[in-house]
Amino acid sequence: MAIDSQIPTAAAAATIVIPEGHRISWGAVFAGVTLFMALSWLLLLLGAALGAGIADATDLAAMGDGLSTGSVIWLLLTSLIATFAGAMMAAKLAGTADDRIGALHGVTVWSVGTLLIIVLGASGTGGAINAVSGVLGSATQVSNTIITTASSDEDGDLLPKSVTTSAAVFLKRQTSRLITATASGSDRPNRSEVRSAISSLSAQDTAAVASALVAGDIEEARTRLAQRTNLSGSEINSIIQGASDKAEQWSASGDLQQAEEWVSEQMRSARRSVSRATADMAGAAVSSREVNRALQQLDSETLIEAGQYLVMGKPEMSKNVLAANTNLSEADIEAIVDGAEKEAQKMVNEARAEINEATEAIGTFTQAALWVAFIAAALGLAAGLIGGQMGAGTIKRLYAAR
Amino acid sequence: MRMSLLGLIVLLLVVAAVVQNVYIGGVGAIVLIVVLVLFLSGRL
Repeated sequence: MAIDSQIPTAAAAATIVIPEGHRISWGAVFAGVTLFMALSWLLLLLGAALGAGIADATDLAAMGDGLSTGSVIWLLLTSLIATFAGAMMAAKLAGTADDRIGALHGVTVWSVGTLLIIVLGASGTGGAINAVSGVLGSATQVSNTIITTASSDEDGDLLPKSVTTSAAVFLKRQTSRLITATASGSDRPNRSEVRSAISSLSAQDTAAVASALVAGDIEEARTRLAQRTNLSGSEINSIIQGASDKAEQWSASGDLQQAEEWVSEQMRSARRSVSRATADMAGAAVSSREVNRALQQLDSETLIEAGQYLVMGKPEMSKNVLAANTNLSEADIEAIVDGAEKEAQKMVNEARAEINEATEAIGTFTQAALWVAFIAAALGLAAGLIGGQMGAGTIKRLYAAR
Repeated sequence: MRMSLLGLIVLLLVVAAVVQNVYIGGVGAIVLIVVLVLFLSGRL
């Protein structure tokens, strides 16, 4: 709509036809949104290349600090630049000289673009195009991952499965204590040796220790051995000492299987030597074979099930499971479960504290991500208004006095 | 007028995001919405 370039006088103003309505140019809006999306993607790639992208979703400690300042600035810049350029393009293509119409086109580009990002985000592909969508997606993904790994299918108490396994180990340890304590004969075997003799690493435990060794983390391997076995400190030290010499070789080759085999062999030899020592000390009263036979009644399924009830804080149910699946006397079961209960409770409390810490870190990250997403969206709106207005040319709208 | 107001809002929002201050951000967003409403109603 052409407007008379002459300044209208009151008389001439009556002759100027003021349009009743303005037609939106959807073609221009579509082009603007296309540019907005393409620029978002381009800036996302540039941000990733510069290292100003989203925080590492696997680093819980980093996530606990929220988003870095570099990431925040980059996300805001992305939103500002993409919306401004898209709005300006839409206003220019609309061919209007009215800056108000241009700004309205800019707002439309922002709203359509935002809607598109929401839809793409919901379908899971938003993160590949838009940085803000990506940051929100990663927050959700990490929350889901941590909740999945932390939760246990059996007890539904958001506790990792390792807690149940540990509770089973406590039960086994208590049983070994009981058998040792009740063994008759003048020369009772050393308790710690009996415990060592009967403790056995499962394949899973062996793999956990071996993976730490292959990673070159000797301290972690020592901790895992201490947590998952009943070996004494000196026994663990001797195993770790032997492993540290070979760890470098495993780390270089990444040969996990070789490390697993080595750990298994070390454990077997430790058990054999301790069993012999135990049998020698106990004499006829109790042999390592008898101790092992007694413990064979406690198969892993029974132990795990009883351990689950301990973790859930139901020691009575745990006793019932042991009573139903073993030939142990009621008094023995009482002693085993009561002894293991305190240790299990301590482990549960520690696991809960860890989960709380993780949840807090996720909360901080999610809050920071939502906050930046909100500011980025608001900035996009402002940029849409500014870009649209600037893209509409320089002629100001003239209103006729009626 | 409109442009300078929008420029001020952009500045406010950027500062709010960088210092992670909810109050500044909230004020910025509310002012932005008010400006939008005034603009749409033709008063700005």
